[in-house]
Amino acid sequence: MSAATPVLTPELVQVVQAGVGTVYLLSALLLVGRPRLQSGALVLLAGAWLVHVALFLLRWYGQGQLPIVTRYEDLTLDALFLVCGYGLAQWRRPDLRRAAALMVLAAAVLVLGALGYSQNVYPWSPALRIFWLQVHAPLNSLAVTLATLAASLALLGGREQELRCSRLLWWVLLLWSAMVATGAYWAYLAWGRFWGWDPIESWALATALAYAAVCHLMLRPGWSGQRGCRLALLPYAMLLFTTYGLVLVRYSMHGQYLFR
Amino acid sequence: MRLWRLLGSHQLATALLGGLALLVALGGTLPQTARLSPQERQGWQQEWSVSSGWLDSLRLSDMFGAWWFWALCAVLLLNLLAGTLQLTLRLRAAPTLAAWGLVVGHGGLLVIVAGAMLSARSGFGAHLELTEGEIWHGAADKLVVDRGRAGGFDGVLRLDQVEATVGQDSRLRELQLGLSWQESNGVLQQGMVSANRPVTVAGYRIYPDNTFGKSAVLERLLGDGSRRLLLVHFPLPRAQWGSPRWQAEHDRALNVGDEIRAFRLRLEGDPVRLHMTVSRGAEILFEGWLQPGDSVTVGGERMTLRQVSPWAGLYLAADRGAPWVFAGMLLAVAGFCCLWRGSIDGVRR
Ligand code: HEM
Repeated sequence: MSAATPVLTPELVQVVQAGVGTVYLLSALLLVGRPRLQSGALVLLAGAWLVHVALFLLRWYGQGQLPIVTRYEDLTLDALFLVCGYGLAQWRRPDLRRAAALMVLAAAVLVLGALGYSQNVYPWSPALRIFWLQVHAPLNSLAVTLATLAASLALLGGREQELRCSRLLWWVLLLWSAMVATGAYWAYLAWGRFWGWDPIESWALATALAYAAVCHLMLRPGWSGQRGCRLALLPYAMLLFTTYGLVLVRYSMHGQYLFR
Repeated sequence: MRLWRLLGSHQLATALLGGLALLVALGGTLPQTARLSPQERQGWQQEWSVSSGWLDSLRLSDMFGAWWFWALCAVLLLNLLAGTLQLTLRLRAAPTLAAWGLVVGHGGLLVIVAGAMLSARSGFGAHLELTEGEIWHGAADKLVVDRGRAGGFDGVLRLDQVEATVGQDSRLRELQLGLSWQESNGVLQQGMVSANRPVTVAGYRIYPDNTFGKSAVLERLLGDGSRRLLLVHFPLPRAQWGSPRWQAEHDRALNVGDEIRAFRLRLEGDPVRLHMTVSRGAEILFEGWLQPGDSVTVGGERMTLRQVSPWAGLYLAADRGAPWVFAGMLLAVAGFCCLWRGSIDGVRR
């Protein structure tokens, strides 16, 4: 068990990451504020994100294995995806600058929350040395990113973003389900069964079913707009609980690495 | 006609999906007896005697084995079947890529649900512990069944070698099990199983179970002159895996003639030796150390410690539903990806 990055001491990593989180937080507040402040916020955000990427790359280089496994790494990775997703979204559609700002706030919470977990490096157990890890874990981050964008549009987007939000929800459903599917295939290779009703498996399926229910409900005229998008906050809460909360309250065989 | 429309409607889908979402979340939260060890189950039933009673009577504590859960899944299957057929019929009016994607995607979901139901009915999984050099002919009494019912095992399986690499932090780095086997065709085959790399033998997939330890092989020469082998597996705590100095204990009762004898065994490495205490009730019949090759006579029975070898846990699985589930997943993802730019509006009623 060693410190992660060869260049930075663990203390320095903490300080730099705390700085990144604080700048994300500040940017999120500025982005929902007056339009005049938005450009400044974007510059701050881009700078902090580059530092964040550098931290990720240094950790990867330092430990010689992709940093996407421990709780600390998982939270940090999700935040990286969120800010990247926000950057791309607002670049393609400038009207999303304010409406998607919740993504930046979520990234700040994750980057700062990650500091509460051990940053030690753990050598991977044999089951983790497989291609599917590199698909399964990032699919989760991608699903969290799009789901947070949809939730942000539902809360901050108003009527103009209804259509975009409802289209996004289908993509969240697809990505989340693909994450579950790759996990199931991996479980088949690693444990001899593709499904065992482990709490994480059950909750991940329940989340997919809930998104599917809301998406199908939104096919009805009365629910197609903002009403449906707001209802989708319910499966979003389930997604957050499955990803971040469940292992705090239930033992799961998927969480072997999560608390180190 | 109206029933047919209702059966394939997205209104029914919404209700079923919402209901199942709630139930599955509940099942992921409440303790499920099928997943608890006997001690945990007893603890939960004692501590929560009232609530566990009514949860049991509603089968909410064994939800994923309850008939009503699978009945709901069967209704979902019908919904998907009718929905997919209705979408297919509408293809003639607008045969776009998106419309095709919708059909294929829902067809994939249909295959997933059907495969999952087949898997729940016919899937099998069991733990099997073998000592290095031991041959298993398919005897069911060596299996600790995890799910389903064992069919026959038409072959012979031998654990040739156990190779475990453990880091200084006492974490497992690599566990490789060398196996040889012979199926009904008589051809002798060899292979290695390791994490994520099972082998298939006589219709069963064989995985490493990540359990590992030392096994004492004792030969018993009984009063009537017959010989029996007694294999005692000692699971080693992971912290001791890498070191030559390990120690493990095991208690067991054995029928000798028509009396029961209690054996308390302690196996040690460096040097390898076994401490054995044999008692009958309160009376101690034997207490002492044995090294490989040593024999001792206890109450008319001669016991020889033949050898101390590594043992490893294997997991045997068979599941006819799994390939269908994976095929369905591929279809579903491929189908729904066809909706990338296309709108489903044109396909809807
Ligand atoms: C919230 C949902 C999920 C998240 C965030 C998630 C994330 C991860 C991550 C980060 C890992 C790598 C390290 C670790 O063991 O923690 C992992 C491993 C794994 N996941 Fe998932 N996963 C989720 C759901 C699922 C589901 C539904 C399945 C299967 C049906 C699954 C199957 C697996 C398997 C088999 C491993 C390998 C674990 C091992 O043997 O060490 N995951 N997952």
